[in-house]
Amino acid sequence: MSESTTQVDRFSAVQVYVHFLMALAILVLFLTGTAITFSGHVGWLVAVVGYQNIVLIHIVAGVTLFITLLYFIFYLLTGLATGDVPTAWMPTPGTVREAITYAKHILGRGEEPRPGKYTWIQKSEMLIIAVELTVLTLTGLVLMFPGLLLRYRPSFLVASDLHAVFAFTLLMGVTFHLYDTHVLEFPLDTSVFTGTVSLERAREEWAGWVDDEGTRTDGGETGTDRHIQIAGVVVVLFTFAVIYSGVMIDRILAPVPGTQVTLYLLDAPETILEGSFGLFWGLGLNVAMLVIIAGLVGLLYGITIRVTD
Amino acid sequence: MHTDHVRHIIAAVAAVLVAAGVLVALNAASPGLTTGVWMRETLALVGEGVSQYESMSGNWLILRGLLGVYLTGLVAMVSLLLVLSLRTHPGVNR
Ligand code: HEM
Repeated sequence: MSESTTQVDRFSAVQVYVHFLMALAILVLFLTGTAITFSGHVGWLVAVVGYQNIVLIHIVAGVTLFITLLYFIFYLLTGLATGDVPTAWMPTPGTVREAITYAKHILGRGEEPRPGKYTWIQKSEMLIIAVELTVLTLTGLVLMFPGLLLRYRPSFLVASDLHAVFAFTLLMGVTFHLYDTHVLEFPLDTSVFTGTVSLERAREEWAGWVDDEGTRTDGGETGTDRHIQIAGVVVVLFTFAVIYSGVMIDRILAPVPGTQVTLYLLDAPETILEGSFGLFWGLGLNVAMLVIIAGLVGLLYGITIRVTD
Repeated sequence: MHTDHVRHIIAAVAAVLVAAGVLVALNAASPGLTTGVWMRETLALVGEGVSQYESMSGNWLILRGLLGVYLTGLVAMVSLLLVLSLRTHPGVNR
């Protein structure tokens, strides 16, 4: 077998299916959550599905996510008893050294890092996603019961602030993740569905994982299709600008509910978001919706490869 | 039975039980509102009696500030990594 067709195992069946369920729930939560926060800008979705149904779908997806995460946690905990606990994701002093090597390499001083199973960027992504999902799930559960608002008013509204801001931070993180898995690995990185990657790619990206001698191909067969990559970067930066400014105006700088106090004087956020520059957010939030839908299509296609394999 | 099957069963049962427990507890803590009334409507409904927020507003501004710093820091970092990927990945893998 030639090196380019040899496959190495990367993800277990549990990892493949938990990733699928989580990703599915999260993408649905993004679609419906964006429609709740920016209902004016993605009015088509509200018109088609109906506001009440959007909230309902959001809650069903939220509870699905909650159960999936609990399942994964309990599965890992039972691994303690059988001595089968994954450790490759954990940040170590080596991870910090790798980040420093990366920074030096970028500045043109020194070799590329030789990451283990996950690069320092992938490990950071996993940690941030874990923290954000924890906050989103806890606050989301509280928001499901508006009766709590009547009893614990300020805390409930703090939960709502946290939920919205973390939701859109996660959306930007996931957009970056989709760039890694759909643009850099065009059109779709199938490894998290099949559970395997080619030995060649493993040597290239995680040199310290597959072997220590590591024959490197150093960008040999990459370097094609630069325009796809540049287009990808431009689209992602545009969605960042739209979502970041939207959340800053709609939440961070918006009045504290029921008071006239804001971090920075801004009495009516919607006059900006839906005013004369409203087209920027109207266009941009719909581009973000397309990114989410593209993610959903990729996800469903990927899992079909797995089940029909 | 295979140990891995046992792990799946324990995990699935525990997940459903814990989730149900949390939902029941939250529901019990939440005084009566008919289902189908969601957060945003409730907010509009009770929007008038605002005085209790005021005591929170100082801390709240700190929280908003921290959230703003978190959001800004993360966007800046991720944008930087994105642009740097143009250097570390010369083109796309097909
Ligand atoms: C990836 C995870 C999630 C994302 C991205 C997300 C996103 C959002 C967004 C953007 C909003 C609108 C906030 C606003 O502007 O008012 C929202 C509201 C809400 N979310 Fe989530 N959410 C997530 C997880 C969850 C979970 C796990 C639950 C419950 C178990 C949940 C329950 C709710 C509820 C009840 C509301 C309030 C709806 C309303 O009455 O307006 N969310 N979510």
